[in-house]
Amino acid sequence: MSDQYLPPAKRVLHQRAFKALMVTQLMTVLAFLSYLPQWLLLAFCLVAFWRWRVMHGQFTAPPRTLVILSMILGIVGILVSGFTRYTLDAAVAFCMLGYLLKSLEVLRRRDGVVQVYLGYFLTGVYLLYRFDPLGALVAIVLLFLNTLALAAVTSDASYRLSYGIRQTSLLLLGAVPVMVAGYLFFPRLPPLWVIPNDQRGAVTGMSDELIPGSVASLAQSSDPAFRVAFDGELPPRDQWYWRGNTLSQFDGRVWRASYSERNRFSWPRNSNLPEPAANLYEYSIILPKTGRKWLYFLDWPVSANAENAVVLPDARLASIANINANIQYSAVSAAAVQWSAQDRFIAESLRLPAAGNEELRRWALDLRASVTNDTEYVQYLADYIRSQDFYYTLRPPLYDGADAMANFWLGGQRGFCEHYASAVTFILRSAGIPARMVGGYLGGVYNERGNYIQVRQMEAHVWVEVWLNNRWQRFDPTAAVAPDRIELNLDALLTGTSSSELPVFSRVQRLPLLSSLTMYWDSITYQWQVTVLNYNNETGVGWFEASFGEFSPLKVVLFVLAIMSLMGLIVGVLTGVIVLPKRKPEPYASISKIEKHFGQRLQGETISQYFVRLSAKNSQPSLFTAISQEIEKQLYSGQDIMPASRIRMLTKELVKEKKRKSTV
Amino acid sequence: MFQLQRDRLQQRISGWLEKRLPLQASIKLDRNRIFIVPTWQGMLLLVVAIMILLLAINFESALNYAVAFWLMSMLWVAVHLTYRNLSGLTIAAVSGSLVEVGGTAEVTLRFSSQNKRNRGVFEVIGKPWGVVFVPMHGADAVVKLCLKASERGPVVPARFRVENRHPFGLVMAWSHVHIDVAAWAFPEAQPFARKAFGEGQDLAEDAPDDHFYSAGSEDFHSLRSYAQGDAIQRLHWPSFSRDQLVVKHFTDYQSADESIQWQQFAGLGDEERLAAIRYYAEAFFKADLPYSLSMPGVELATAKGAEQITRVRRALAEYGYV
Repeated sequence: MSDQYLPPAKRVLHQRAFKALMVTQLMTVLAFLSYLPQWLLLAFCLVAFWRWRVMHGQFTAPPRTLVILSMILGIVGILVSGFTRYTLDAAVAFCMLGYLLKSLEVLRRRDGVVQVYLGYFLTGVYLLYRFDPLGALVAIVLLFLNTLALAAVTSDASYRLSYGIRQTSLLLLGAVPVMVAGYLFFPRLPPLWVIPNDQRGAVTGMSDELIPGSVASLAQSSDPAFRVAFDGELPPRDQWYWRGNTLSQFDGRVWRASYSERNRFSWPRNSNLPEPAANLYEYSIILPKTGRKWLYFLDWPVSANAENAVVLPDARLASIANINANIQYSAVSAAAVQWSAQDRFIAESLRLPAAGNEELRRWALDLRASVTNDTEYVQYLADYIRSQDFYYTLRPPLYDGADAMANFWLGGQRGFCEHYASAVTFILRSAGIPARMVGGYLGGVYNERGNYIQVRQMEAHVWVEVWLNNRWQRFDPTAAVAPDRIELNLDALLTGTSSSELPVFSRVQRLPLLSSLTMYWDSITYQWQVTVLNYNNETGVGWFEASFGEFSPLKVVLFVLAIMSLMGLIVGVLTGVIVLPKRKPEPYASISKIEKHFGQRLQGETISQYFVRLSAKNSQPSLFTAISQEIEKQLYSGQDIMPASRIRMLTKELVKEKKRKSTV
Repeated sequence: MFQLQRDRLQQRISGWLEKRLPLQASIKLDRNRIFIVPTWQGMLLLVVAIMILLLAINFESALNYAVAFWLMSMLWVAVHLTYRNLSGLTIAAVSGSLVEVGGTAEVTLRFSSQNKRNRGVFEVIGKPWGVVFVPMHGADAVVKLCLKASERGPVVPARFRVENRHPFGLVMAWSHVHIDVAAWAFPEAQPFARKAFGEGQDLAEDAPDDHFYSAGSEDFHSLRSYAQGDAIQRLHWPSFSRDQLVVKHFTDYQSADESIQWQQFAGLGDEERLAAIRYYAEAFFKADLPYSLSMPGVELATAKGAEQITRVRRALAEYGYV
């Protein structure tokens, strides 16, 4: 039974601890699998094999050559998998490799503890990739598993899973209050140093360049692009044009953005947003990580409040750095605006390459001769689209080469927004009318529960802006070919007629139950975003002031102290450190009550003797006898089935009687 | 110089402990008697939490603030969980064994508490025995501590440490208890000559007039009346002829009643006398002879067997102490 003292860290792990560690490790690897090279599962298999050996008696550390070889293989594998630059993904891949290979040599408690702690850290890393409610749930599961493994690792072989689960739940739940307090009160600091955070994950949203086909691929995704919450009334449904970037440079094949996001130093400085000329809409937008710099606005923004953003002269804002985290910004837009200092952009919006699409140029110039002014020209184009055999489809034939737009406009006549927009812009420019394309989103789903509009990637859209009557005016040729597209979302538009063009998921989403479920889930995600993720110091102060009046240090200190002591009490009671006084069971409670009013029982006096004595001294002997009988029944019946209410009632009566008499 | 200071510090600490946790037969651990600190493992968890906090700050990852504070407050909750393992625990002395000097003595303690909470595994740590693991999953547990019996007399455990890290090993709660429990060590036997005293008789060749006899089979002793169950071979046939049912009764002769006396070892020191008494007592025990013992403060009546030798050993161990 006695032994030389061995520090706990050096004690050998038991079988159940090995199993707990292995399950935890598998879950961690699975959680990360979609962000890391899949072959890391192979490394896990190696580890699992070694664990199996250890658990079946081969209690040895792996040979050094095996460790070094698997390390080299792993590092080479990570490099070959494309993690060559120093980025977060690469760091996480190496961290994961270390996490897996480290566990090859787990034999003692210290190793097990280190593995659990690495697991905790990786849970934190996981939350850099996922921060939606589901991701948080996965993180909670990982925390729970790691803590369960910690319980197994730090106990001896008598460890039982059910007991471990109870202890772990107690620990995690008991820690929740302080966690919430820390979350609420800890100041949100700016990043302490620059981190390799570029190009993390996929890049989404509108790109800088437009080559036919790229918008069609966007339209396949029903992921949310951003969410907009309006203060006050919503703009009419056909005005839900979300402005992304403008594309005004055309080289004959590719349309390029007026301002490249690659070189933000080329962006003009001191630009202003246009002046409002119509009713205003105030709103805030939550934009998930896109990996790009463009912010989105309702056409046309007149003022905006976004951190680290620069106003661009084509009526929008762009972030200085790539958007690698969810951001929230607010803006005001107007349905009509006054523009200033647009000469440079008007000139830019007339430029065309010297050659290519000759037929279309000729067509545009012919038309120019037949109409009197620019407005009529644009009107004619819309009529032309309506009258001709143009057809809206997400799967148009390929229009390739130098005459792509001519082939589309004069030949195939099958296409989607970007075909129409680019052809129309080309025609307008050929006719000498300033025109540019605007990339963004059209439409969205209004979520009543959360009172916001969810704009999905499939709502991506391109339209045309024409300089008419001294202002940029929106001209959406898609409205001419498929008027419903303006009123309906893409999935609604195509359901029924050509639903096969939609991805399976968005087809399924049209079912009423599923669609309301997805709406519900999206509103949860939105609330999560607004209340949890976007919580910062100002929100905290706001909440505080809403309930406790003006913010002052003294109040904060008192508040924090109050919360801390309350939580201390709760945890104290939960863990049994503080024992709440228990109510005395009947009939003892009644006896002591009677003793309080009528004097103590004597040494060695039984209950019946006591009551006989009392009834002799006091009036109402019948009451005493009744209580005495009840108490004796309760005491000696040997069961707890006797109702105690009668004793309590009689005692009350007795005490009342005594009080009444003493006052008389 | 430093050694001196360290000694003084050590002295002050042990004095403080003595005041706080005096020698008692039974100790109930409470707030004043439990010490608690995070282990290296707990501190490492804090480091991990701070690293996750850095992750939260640098990547502006809101949920990582929650994870970081969750881990930190887990440490805080673990303090409560581990504290309550020791809180309310009663450590009481039960018994001590009786061993020869040089052997390993054993003292028995009882850990008990009023509620049946699973308190995990206690580690009872002391120099002589190393560590004893005491799993306590119910209301009580029995602990046996081994001690080296280096001298005759009581073998007492020094102040020892009762430690608990259950669950999670993040914090360590302990107490230094001093329990009033003793095992007893009796002297090693030494063959000193036993000299007669008083009438000058040689006790080894005692006169046969003081026979001590017991039922046996060697020599005829007397006749007694038949009782049911007596062997038929032992019937006294001449009496049977007189219509009396009488059986023959036989006895074994033994040497005279042995008496070990303090005064028989004149000229020896106390310890040597005790060693000598032990020698003769063991010899009689081996020969299955009855004997009595007389020494200052102890008078043992004549008896034999394991119980007598235990009485003698205890008397020898306790001489001068009780």
